[in-house]
Amino acid sequence: MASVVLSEPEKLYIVHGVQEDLRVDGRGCEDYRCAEVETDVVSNTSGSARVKLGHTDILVGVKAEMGTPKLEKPDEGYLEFFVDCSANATPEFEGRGGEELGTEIANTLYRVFSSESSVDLKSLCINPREHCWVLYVDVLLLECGGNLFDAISIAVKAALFNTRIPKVRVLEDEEGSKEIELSDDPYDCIRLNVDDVPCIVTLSKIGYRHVVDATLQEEACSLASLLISVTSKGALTSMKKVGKGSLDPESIFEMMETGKRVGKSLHIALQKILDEEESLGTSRQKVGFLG
Amino acid sequence: MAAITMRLPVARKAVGPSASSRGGEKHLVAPGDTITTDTGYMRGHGTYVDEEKLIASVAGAVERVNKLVCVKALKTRYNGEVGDIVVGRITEVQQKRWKVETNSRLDSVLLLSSMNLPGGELRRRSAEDELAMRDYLQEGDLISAEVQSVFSDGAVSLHTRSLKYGKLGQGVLVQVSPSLVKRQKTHFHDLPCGASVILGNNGFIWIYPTPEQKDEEAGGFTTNLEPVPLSEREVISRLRNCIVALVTQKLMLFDTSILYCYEASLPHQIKDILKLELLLLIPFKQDLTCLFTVSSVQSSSVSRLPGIVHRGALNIASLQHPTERSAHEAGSDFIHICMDRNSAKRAAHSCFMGQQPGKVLGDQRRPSLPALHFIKGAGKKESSRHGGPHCNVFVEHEGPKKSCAVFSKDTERDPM
Repeated sequence: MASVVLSEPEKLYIVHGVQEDLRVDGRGCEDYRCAEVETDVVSNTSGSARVKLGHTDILVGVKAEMGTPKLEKPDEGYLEFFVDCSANATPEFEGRGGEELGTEIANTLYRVFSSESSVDLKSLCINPREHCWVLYVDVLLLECGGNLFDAISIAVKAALFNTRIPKVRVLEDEEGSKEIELSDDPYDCIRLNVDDVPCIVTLSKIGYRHVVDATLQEEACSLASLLISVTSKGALTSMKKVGKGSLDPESIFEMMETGKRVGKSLHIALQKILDEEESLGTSRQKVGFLG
Repeated sequence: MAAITMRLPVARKAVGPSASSRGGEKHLVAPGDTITTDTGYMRGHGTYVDEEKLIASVAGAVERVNKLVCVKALKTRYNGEVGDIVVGRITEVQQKRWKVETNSRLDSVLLLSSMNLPGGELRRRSAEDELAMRDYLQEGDLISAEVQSVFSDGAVSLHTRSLKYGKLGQGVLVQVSPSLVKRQKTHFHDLPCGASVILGNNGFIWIYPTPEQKDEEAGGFTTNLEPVPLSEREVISRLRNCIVALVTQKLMLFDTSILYCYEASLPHQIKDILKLELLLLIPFKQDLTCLFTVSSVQSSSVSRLPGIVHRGALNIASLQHPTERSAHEAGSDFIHICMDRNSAKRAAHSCFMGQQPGKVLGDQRRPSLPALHFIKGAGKKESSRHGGPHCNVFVEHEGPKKSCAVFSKDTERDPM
């Protein structure tokens, strides 16, 4: 992952700042940087979103394609995750350099979405055992400025919110052969319910305290961090420790509590901005990549 | 309580070529734009010749020196010049030298022989010194240094042979584009708000608590590892966010602009400075007095901001001060936006006193400033005798809320 080198006194300054609840950029330990969210940025996807969190820049595209359901879940569709680390973000990602990180993030996303309630997969089923919608969620990492996981999960949720899947009907003729009919109206589509889609909150242990939304500099001062995925109701769906350091069980519980609290407000803020964007409708000026 | 804000992105405003506040004086180009088809010009940095046309290879402002045409890029890596003050990070320890990251195209070098030994000993560097190099400076350490020489390939050789240079202790580093750092006599500033900054010419800006005793600086080899008190931390964080805010607005960085932004940000919480709404507003807030912009792109966007235009009065005035002339010729507009009378006075004062703005700020900005009649006095055309440019000062638009003083000054160059 992209990382920065800091001198010892710089690290000390950051650690002391966290202890006093005043980080380098003036935030408290539980504050996020101001995020920028825009959906519907890529026209040839079913749903897309771009999230900028400080210097972290994430683009997510969701493409709905027809496929066959998995054998163990014949009446459900499924999600596929793929993370591409662009060499624009850091030269380290050149060639196959970003593959490891990409797989790690994709696996984390699979785990986060593994819970039954996160997305209503049954609604993605068209024809049990034969046809279902497969949602290919492609994450593109454009810039790394710390706190990748949170930004990615926010972007994934925004993109899923934006996803519109065309409505199809299954027609069966007398001989029993089935035919799939696509609705003529391009606006006739189904939307996903993203109320229970979890977001990841990364808590980085710095000194004796933990912070959310660590910058690259803060990540360099942190030995261990805890990734937890929280739903809008505050339910914890998965948890993962990253980093080479170890965590005290007591501090893990503390971090979980903080994560749940922060996660809830994160969902509220995200939902608010998504609703705001939707209410603007076509009157909103699209910014995209030239903004 | 966790504070989380999200917003929709805001599109950048396009600025037409005619939008310059100086009547299209500034020539802005994008890569590939034809600068001139006249073959009588010489090709300078940032340009190339194709089919007998001079074409820009970078985005920036065109500068002409006689027949030489250059384009000064707004966003660039650092091009070292002898005597520049830079802040850099050690990336490698090699034989008799350190490699330093200074945001230039090639890593800079700091030779063991061009640094002060701890304690300021003056002697030949021995093999023992070479072995102890990592004790002096190790990978990741930040240093302030001066450019000693520039090699033919553009790589820079640094030296720290003065007690003011050397290893940096606790503080915050902000990285900006080198073209946003204004060249000044001094780049080390102890700001009156309670912190110090080093504005490296290479765009690395170091903000640190003002050291208590100046004399015992030993080139930074004795690092103070005591926690920095919260009050100083707040000042440093605020300064950092102000600098970031100024940079996003592409405003020139120097002590005065930073201080004005700092003062304007005081009513807000530190973490709010970076939220875009405020970020767009802060430099243009009513109580902010001065803006110094790099190019007319910014100055025109300033004049387009509704909050300024709707006031009805012409609020933007160009003040050109004799000592600023070189800066102006180097391509930077010097623009003051005076929104209230006090600040206008202050701005005018610093300019008419024939001092560098920063110098005035340090000691004279807080105590009672000379009354307006002083400025009126200065407005009399007395300067023509001395061959200086004319200056006219007048007060305009005594609005219901705040009065706006507008200063205008003839920017005509005197033949002298």
